[in-house]
Amino acid sequence: MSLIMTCLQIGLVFGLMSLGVFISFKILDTPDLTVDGSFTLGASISAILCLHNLPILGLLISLFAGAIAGIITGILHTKLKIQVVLAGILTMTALYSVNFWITGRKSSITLYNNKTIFSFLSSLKQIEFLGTNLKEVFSLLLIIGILVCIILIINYFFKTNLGMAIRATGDNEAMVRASSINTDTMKIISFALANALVAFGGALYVQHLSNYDSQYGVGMMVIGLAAIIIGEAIFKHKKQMKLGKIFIIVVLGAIIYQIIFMLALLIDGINPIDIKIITALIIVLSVYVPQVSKSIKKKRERRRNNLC
Amino acid sequence: MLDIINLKVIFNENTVDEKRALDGIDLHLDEGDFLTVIGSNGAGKSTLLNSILGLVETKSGEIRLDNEIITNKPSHKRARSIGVVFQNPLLGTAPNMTIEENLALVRAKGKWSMFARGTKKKNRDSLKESLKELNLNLEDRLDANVGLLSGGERQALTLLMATLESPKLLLLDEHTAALDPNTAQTILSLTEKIVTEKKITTIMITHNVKDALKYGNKLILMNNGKIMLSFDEQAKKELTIDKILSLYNNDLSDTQIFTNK
Repeated sequence: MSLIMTCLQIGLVFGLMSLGVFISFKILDTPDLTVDGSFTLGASISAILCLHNLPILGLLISLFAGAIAGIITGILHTKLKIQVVLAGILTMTALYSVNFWITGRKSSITLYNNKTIFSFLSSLKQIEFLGTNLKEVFSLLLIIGILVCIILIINYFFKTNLGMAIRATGDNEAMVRASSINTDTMKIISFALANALVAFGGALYVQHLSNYDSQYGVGMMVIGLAAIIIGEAIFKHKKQMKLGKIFIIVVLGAIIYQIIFMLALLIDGINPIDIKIITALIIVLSVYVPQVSKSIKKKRERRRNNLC
Repeated sequence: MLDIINLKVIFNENTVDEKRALDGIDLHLDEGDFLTVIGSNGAGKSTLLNSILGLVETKSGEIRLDNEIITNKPSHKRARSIGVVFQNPLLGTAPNMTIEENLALVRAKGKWSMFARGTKKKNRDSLKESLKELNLNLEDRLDANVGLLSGGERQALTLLMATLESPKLLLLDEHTAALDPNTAQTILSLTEKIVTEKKITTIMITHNVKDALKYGNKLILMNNGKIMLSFDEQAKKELTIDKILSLYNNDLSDTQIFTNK
């Protein structure tokens, strides 16, 4: 039970981060590789401010810092005309140093004795509840609460004029320019928004684990993509779907990813070193399996039609 | 209204591939004029439109729209007063957004407030009204993604979007060339209707001489980046297809690219 609890909590935190990946990767239709760096950026800021017992400020500042990281990638890409993949990698690489500046050259920080947004629940730890304890339950509810707020906000945002212009930029840039909208600005704004969410995810992740490590961000981009791909493969049945629903699908995808991941780790003989190859395999399978099942279905249908 | 003075555009300058795409274009249009442009491939017709739109860099010369020099204005700012429909129906609309959202996006060209809701219920009726004019029953499909529409429907929608806010200038770059003949005629008559109703100054490129004669009040024939022949309202009325073809034949040999249905 407590394992499932952890799965859900981490899945939801990764879901939050995946929403950021979704914004750049799907809505803007550009791969933004800043993610690995901005996740750690949020994490390091959050860790340092927790050391000073300012967890909420940590979340807020990481949101802004993530946005700035996104803006830098955006400017490198649109104004300096650097290819978007390279621009992301450059920012990510630079952030590696920045993160060490922030933590004062420490590569890991433990926060067990410091205040996090979850610490006010610690008194509930003694109370047993369905094989786990009430602290875990309320932590989960807190994360869900934060996630719901964020989904509501971005869902509204993408219905505003600005949000619509951003979606259209990802859809058909020429048309947006013909509508007298500066597409460069739209791209910078969406990179900012995407990385703000990612950094916020990193900040929440650190406070949830009460631990910081400079390696947390490695592979986050891939996890975000996995969440999107798994979510869409399992839950997206219609071609046209409301954006709000797709946000939820992405979060569900992140949870399912986390569950598959945990199950894989339970298999004997698999140790943490194998984590990355498992992640890669999960993504490959989640892309491949739906394709195969679709083509099998079509073949069956064709056969049935021929028999009639 | 629109003044183009000695406009030059050169591609690949100072290389063996140098091409004088526009070689000293002078053009004047009055308010409400409907100019049709004909000429063979590579004559510079599209380059002319693209330089008005700000999509290609000009070498020298000047473009004035409503007495404002726009030669160096960034293209998205020009778009505020210029509407455009390209040949490819996929270029003018965002496929993964609904018809309503597409229309809402161009509704207040560059004047919208950022955080206001993009699609408003109170605007729905007026959007439906405008869609009705297309006669394609799109008014009942406001919530459908544009990607589900056919090429003709998308082109009609693009035309509507380009003219929704009554731009000062409308540019049509062979906007019916990718459509079947029937749909093309529908779109063309729709174009004429909208343009006359809203009194929009229009430039239309076409490869169809018949259409070039049928629509509009002025006509130019381009070749090698120059305006070879230009006909004002009176002269255009006296033009016939054979006359154009023979005029054209004297200067050039590639009339075969013209369709003469």
